Amino acid sequence: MATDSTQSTTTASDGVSDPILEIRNASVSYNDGETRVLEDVSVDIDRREVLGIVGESGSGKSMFASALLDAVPDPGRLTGQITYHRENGDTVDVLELSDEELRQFRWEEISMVFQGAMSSFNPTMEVGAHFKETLKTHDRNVSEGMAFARELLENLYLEPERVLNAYPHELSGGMQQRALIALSMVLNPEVLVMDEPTAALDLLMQRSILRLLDNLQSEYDLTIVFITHDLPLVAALADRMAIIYAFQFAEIGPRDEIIGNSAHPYTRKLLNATPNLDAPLEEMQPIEGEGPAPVNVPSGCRFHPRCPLATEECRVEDPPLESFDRHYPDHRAACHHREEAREEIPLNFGEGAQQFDHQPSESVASTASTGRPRTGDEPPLLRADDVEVHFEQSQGLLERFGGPPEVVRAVDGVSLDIQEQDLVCLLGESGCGKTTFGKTLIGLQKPTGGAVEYRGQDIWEASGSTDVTRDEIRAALQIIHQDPGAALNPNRRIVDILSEPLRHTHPNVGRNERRSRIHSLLERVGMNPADDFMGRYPHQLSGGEKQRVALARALLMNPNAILADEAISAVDVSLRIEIMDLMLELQSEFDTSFLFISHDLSNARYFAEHGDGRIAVMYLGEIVEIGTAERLIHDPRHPYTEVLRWATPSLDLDDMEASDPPIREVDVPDPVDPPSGCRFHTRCPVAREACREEHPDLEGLDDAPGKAACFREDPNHAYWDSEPLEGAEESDDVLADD
Amino acid sequence: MERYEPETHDGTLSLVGDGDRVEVGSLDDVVAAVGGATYTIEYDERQRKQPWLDTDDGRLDVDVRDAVTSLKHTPELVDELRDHDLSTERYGLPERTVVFADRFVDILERQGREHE
Repeated sequence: MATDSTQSTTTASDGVSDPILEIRNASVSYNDGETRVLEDVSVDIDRREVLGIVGESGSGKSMFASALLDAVPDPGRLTGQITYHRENGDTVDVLELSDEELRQFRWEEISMVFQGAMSSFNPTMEVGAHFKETLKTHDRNVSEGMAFARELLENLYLEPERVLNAYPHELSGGMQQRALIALSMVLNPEVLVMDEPTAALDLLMQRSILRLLDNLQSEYDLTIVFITHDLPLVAALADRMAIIYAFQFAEIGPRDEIIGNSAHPYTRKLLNATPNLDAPLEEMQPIEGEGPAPVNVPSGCRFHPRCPLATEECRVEDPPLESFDRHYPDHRAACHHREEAREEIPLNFGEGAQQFDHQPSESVASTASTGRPRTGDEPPLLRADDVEVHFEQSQGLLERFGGPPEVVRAVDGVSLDIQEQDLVCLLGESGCGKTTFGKTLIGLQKPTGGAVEYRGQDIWEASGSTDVTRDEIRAALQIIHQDPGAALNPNRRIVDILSEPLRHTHPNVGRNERRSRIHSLLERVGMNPADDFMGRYPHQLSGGEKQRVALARALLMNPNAILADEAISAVDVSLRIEIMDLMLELQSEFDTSFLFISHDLSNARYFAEHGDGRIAVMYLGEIVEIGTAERLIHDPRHPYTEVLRWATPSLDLDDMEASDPPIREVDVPDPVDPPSGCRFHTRCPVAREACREEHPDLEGLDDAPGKAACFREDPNHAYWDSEPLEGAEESDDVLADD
Repeated sequence: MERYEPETHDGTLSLVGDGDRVEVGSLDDVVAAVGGATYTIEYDERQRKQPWLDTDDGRLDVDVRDAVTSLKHTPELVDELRDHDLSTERYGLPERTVVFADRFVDILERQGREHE
């Protein structure tokens, strides 16, 4: 292996005293250097630190991760120098390693967990065989290695024997990801590189895994490089943070400096654009524009086209990433106007957030349990009455055969009214039934029990003879999907994609009028020049633009309600608020109701508070709490709402250190066989015997707007005299007292 | 974890659990329903570097006969198979055999690069 025994000297730039990795002028290029997807990155990584690297999609952050292991995808060319320092003083020139040396170096010295790793198992091998294969491939003692594997799995809250004997497909996503973390550590590496390792998981599972990583890091003296688009998520774990923009590091420094005292306009604007629970809503602002493509990088400072402080100097001269504050020599920022950035771009959380009055407005409070006030005897726009949707499980590729044995109670007895121009966010983990319930409300899924009414008429009984036909109801209830790209035909131009629904619903409208309507709607959703966008194909649009087209298509039908199913999850953080603002504006302009499905409380909060709406928290097929965002965040009444609150990362430095989740079990129970009584009792930190035996109804709260399904709301309930369940607390201390 | 183990007798595949046995169909029919004797999973450049994957070109060729005669299954899958008849034919193959092949392919498809 290419090593020498030269001890490295301290590098002043990052204030790192014992670097385990030194990266110098690392660049990755394609097309003979024409396309540069990582440019001139120099950074030191300290032994046993957690370095959080934050960047939006296409910023080059994954390329940086690959570069650390000299694993840049072909035909990319990695140049520069990457030096790895062993604790015994040996150094390794990573880019000079032979293929065999590199194979050993990866996983033994530096290992990696990445988002796609969940699909990198061998499906015919049990998980235990993956551990054994890894140990054998690296000539390790298998029985000793397996003992270590069991220890790792246990530390990750998994039952070792169960996981080792399972095939990958028999584990949930959260279990697979934890098994992968254990696999990445079984050779006892010094460095763990994690590239969006939790992005496919629910927020609660993400936060739980980060908490476990925090424990692993200190127990095994790991160095962790955690790469993500989610700034608040990694902030809870990181010692230092780096912000990457347009293939270069824009800023790097201690975590508290980056969050509380950042000096790059992009960092500050990204912090202000990140939906969170701390900032006043009116202060959250998107960053105008989008990050550049690698073939179209601006001259000078790469952020200058989006920067409010940009001057001629910024347009011409690329600012170096350098330290500027003698009190924090390890804080570096690549900006010509660092002082101005701090003065001119105030942060919207921390002290600013404290000035925000958290009292709910009267209008919001009055709508909390029932939606907008009803006028006269008009029925609500949509009414779910004791709706059940029970699926038979395992309907895979050959649904035609039907008749599988197990029943998943995806939605179980849910009632909810949606008024005209109402806004309701359905919030919960994967598998809680929120999407199924949303689709049932807009008539895309037939309930197996109960009824859904549209303006007083059962939507599944509508026919030609009733007041409103099924076609009219279908047109009135629209959906926007999570992945707008998948919902747009790749072979058709935007104008044709948008013409199709209009031709169907307005067959008498001529071509010119259709084009005129499409043109004005595209302008309205911010796609200018509209003529240009009308002629494009979906692949010529960014994620945000595709979502705007999906929104335009829904609005073309003049709908009364739109179901937005995780509609901003695929949009970059800096653009989320812009898309949510657009939806809210259009809701008012088009007199539409919105059903917004999310697993993220901070996004739901933004939507519900700005839109004067409610959040309905779902758990295993039921609504367990409903109310205003303000009340749910500051006065949650259901312990599960409390858990979701914990799972939502904060930008408040005083509240940032990762704490244990207020939950007894990390994993969600099997929806095929939900727990008896209160379905949350197996995970609830304050569950008692009564919760196992009796099912709580969703009841109106006595002293606050909204409803909750928890016995703790009834001071006379038998709950208070029954015994706490195993692992549950008798006192309320486990729950936050905010 | 309770599982059913595959057993082959005279070219017929069965899943056998604690005092229980369900016949899946002939191995030849299983192979035909899966679509061939080899099923290839393609891993992307990052995935193929995992130490447990012994593949340089990112392609893992699963020998269907080997895999269906070694992969154990849950009682839930066995219950599902039991609901389908061996004597009813779909596309010239027994319905239960096709359902088994369907579930098997489903397990394989979860791995490898994202399909476009």
